[in-house]
Amino acid sequence: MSATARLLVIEMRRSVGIWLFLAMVGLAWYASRVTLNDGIEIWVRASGQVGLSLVLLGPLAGGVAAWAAGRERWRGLEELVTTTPRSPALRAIVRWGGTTAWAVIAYFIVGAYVFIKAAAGGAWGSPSPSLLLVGLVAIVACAALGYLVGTYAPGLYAAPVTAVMLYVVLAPFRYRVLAIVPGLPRDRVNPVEYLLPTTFVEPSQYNVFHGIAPDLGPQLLAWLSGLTIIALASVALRKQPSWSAAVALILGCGTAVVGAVSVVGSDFSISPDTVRPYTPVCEERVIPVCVHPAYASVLDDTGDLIDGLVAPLVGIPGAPIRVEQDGDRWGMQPEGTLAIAAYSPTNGEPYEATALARELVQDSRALATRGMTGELSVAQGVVAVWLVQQSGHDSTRAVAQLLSPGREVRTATEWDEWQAEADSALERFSELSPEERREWLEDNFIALRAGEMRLEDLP
Amino acid sequence: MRLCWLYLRSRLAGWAIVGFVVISMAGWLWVTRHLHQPRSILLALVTVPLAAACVIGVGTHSPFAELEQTVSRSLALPRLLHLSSLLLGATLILAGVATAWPLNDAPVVVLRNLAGFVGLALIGARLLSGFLSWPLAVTFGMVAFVSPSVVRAGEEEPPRWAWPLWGGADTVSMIVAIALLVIGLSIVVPFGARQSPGVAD
Repeated sequence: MSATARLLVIEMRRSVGIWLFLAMVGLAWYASRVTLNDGIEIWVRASGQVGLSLVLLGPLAGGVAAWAAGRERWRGLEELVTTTPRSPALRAIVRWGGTTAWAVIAYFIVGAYVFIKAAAGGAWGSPSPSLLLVGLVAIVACAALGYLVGTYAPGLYAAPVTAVMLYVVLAPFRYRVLAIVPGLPRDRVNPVEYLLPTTFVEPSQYNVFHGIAPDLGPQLLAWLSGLTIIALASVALRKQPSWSAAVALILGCGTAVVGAVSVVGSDFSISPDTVRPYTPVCEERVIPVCVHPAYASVLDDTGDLIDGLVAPLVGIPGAPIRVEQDGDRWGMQPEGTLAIAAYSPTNGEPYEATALARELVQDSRALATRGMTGELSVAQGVVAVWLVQQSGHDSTRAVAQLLSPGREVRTATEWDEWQAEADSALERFSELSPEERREWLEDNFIALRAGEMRLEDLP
Repeated sequence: MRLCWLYLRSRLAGWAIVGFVVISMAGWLWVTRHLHQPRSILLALVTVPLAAACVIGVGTHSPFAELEQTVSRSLALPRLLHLSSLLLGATLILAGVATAWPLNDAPVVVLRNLAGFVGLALIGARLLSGFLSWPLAVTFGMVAFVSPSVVRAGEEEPPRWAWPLWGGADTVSMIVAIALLVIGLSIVVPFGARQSPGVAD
């Protein structure tokens, strides 16, 4: 083993990272769970979950590295180590490596756990090297930046301040991730936010239809690697000024600039042409139901949902003749296909039934093209709640989300009056005979979906 | 008194007060820029007291740890005075700034979180060392802040254990925070912070 490798092993053994290793693994595991998904295992999302561990692991690694940078000073060993033959710059870099290694090991352990879980769940697709590598290099970059802070400002508060600042920079922005939707104008996407790795690795923005689009992996790797080189070269210059450290600093700056410019200049708009080809999996229910093959496990549940809600509407003008899970379209299409998201085990039946009932009674696509909001009229809300109730699903959520006054209600008395009117209309509609109800729907369903029916127009 | 004064100077108590002011100003600037973003204000309610708690926790480090173990007098009183004065200073400064935030109970939430995070930092100081008192508090604060994202769709309440995220009127969170502070003080005041991880005192 070379002397440098021996030194690295010694640094790892003496690093405070050993004491915090379990905390690192725990943080990485917890951060990998902080995302919303629909309960279907997809390799690209699993990759994003692993990458997302940087949200918590990166700040801790940065804080620990900041502390490690000042370790010799705290222990009064600065004069002693200057007598060793190794160059100060190399010693510093190896110490950083020994500290960062524990964070990297924690990342790999959590990554293995997530991947084993995804494989056991029959994940669809293939892992994304971009998401995995960006997460890893981001953690390394956090550690490098922390080490830089600890080297230049080796104060008492360097370590905690570094950890907190890294967290403040990384964590909140993931909540402002803009889902890249087809046709979204490029000027509505803020490319600068994609310089933060958490924006890129957030798994909930990826789906089976488009995968990772755009794939910013190479650009972000250049940006993060550049930052790492800048930090370590600056540390080396501080410890022992040399031409090689200066050249490394310049190269790091160049790499970072190239990476940043290419991230910001990426094309964030995607179109239906970017949908990855697939053969849908279909079932014949009251109407045909088709989903992406990744969602084949929930085809039955989706079909059950459709059966319950669509059965009373089959054959009625304006009702769907086919249901298909679609990555680009949503709502009723001109040819009679209802484009939906597949049933999500995470969301549960009441949520899914409410969302589907909304799409059945309202032409949301037409409203969207006219720039209007999706709030249901009272008449639409009553029919939607009835659809959920007659399908056997719990209608509590439907009542809360689908029934609204449709006019300004200022007092509790007005609210109670409106509530009584809606309840009465719902009761009357429910008590119609199937023949009477079908006759009314055949005559009025199209007008209902267009928002032309009022509460008093209901039977 | 002279002993206490020297003790405070050796623990850089003055710089800690400066740190509280800087943290409060940073928090005030952040909230002012994100007045209409509840998530960003919540971040300030967690991060500002967390940073102040880290300052207090790191201040438990003793530059003369081995020497102090040989003194004939107990250092419990100076430690108590030191930590109490820092807590009082942080309380006054943070509460003063938090009253300007657009939340009725912001001062209560900030002070509650300060108490809880200081307790965690003191426990970390006894477990690892004064210098490494911050990972326990920072880790918990970070995990608590991201916890709502783990809940299912449609559920907005944070988990029960994420006490920094609950409102100022929540009694359980207040009890937990105060309990953590009491535990932390009970551990550090009589025995002091550990010198270094893996080194028995």
